[in-house]
Amino acid sequence: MKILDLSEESFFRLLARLNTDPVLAGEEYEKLRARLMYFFERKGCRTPAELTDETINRIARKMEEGLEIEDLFKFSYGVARLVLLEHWRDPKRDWDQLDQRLSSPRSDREFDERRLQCMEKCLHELPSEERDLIVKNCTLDKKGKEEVARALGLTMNALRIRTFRIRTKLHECREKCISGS
Amino acid sequence: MNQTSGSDQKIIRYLLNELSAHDQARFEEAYLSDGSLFEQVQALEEELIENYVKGDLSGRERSRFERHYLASDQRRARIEAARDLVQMCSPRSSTKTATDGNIGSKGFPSLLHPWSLANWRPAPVFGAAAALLSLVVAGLVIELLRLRGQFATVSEELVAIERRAEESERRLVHEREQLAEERKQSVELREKLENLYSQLNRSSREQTNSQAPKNQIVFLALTPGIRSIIKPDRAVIYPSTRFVELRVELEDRESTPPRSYRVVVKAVDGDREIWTQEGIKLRRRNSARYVIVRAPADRFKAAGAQDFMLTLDALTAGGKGYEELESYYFQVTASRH
Repeated sequence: MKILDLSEESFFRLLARLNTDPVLAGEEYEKLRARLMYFFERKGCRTPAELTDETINRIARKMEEGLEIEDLFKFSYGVARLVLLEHWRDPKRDWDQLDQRLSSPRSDREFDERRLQCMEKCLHELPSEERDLIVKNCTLDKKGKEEVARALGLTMNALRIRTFRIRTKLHECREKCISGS
Repeated sequence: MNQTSGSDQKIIRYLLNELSAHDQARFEEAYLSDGSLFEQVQALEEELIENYVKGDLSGRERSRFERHYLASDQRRARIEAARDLVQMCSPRSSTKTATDGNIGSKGFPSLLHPWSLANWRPAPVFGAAAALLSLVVAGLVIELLRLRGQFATVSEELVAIERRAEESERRLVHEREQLAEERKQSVELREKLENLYSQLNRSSREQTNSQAPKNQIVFLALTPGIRSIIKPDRAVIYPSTRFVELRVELEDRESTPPRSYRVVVKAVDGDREIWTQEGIKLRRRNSARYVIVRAPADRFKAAGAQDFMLTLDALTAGGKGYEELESYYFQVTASRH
């Protein structure tokens, strides 16, 4: 699938459409990108970033053509579905590396230890209350989690979201640690 | 998976690919335009992954989960990360409840110092026995978790192998289909080729056959006025020739009423009549007027001569006799080949 070039002007027009404040527009852009990436990844696409860029470029192109878009996020779903369909129908789509992909799990002992060390290091780097929440969430059963939520004055959903945000930080830290940066 | 709310259930069904295509599309549109729902989806997904790693999913959920989550590098990496986290936390036991720990506590005990042991307060009377028991239990828990981890890894590998087998099978089916298609094309091409061969044979036979009547019937046009002894009209007959077709043209005259004609062929030598035919109709084409007769070739052969005279007679108006219209001199020679 060919990725259309996006001019600087089109890109800024898209950002301005997301939010008039450039900083918030950037954040919104990242949100849109993350959601699209998630969508394509869930659909089993092996190049979610590429398909996301293609989707965003097409949205920008539509805006350039003067199309009035009421809800940009909603509109992006329609475009993403089209991009996905085209991707599935693309005869050049890469099929071949499945064997290689499935037969190369990195599971040597040294690497496993490194991963665990990184996880431990990143856990220690978390603020203690966040660390405790992660550890409790990891070990407690449903009833236990409900008690934690009650103790913190949160709903279960809010607790889950809070834990998710901490875990996202933790995983980012771990990834950096594993890759040695 | 433990009991969850209605919206959580829907998200989990989405994550396990259990929603109908229509519901799935609606749900995707919803989370793409709703940030909080999107975050909820991601959070529940993390929890789902963690539950999988901890072995808390039901058989059906586990199977659905593996089908989707072991299929991509990114998702496998997330499972791996969750497994590492669970492995770091797990010695602290899954039976622990919220009241056992302090949310704001500072310490993070390492794997070698499980907090379940550190927090254990045995009664003085059974101190030694309880401590021993707790060590045994802790050991068993660690062993159980290790085995569970191994089981999960083996299970993942098994699923990966199954997926490879499925993919290979799919490829095999595809290749078989291609082969069948190629065979079909080959059969079609062979049929076409056979058709072409048979057409070729047919046309060759037709060509051979068309040459036979050519020799079976010899054509000769007799034109009035050309009756020169020096250069007469001439036909060659072969052993295969059965008829001599004579086209006898008449002089251009003013229109005459339709009449019946007679042809008489005689060998010039001895004025011997060799063949005659009556009741012949006149034919017209443009300004030409002519009659066509087909005389048996063997009459010419039997005559033992090569010079012949054809007389064209027309039935008289009363229909009682013939009057001579024209006579034509021609030659017929027999070829031995």
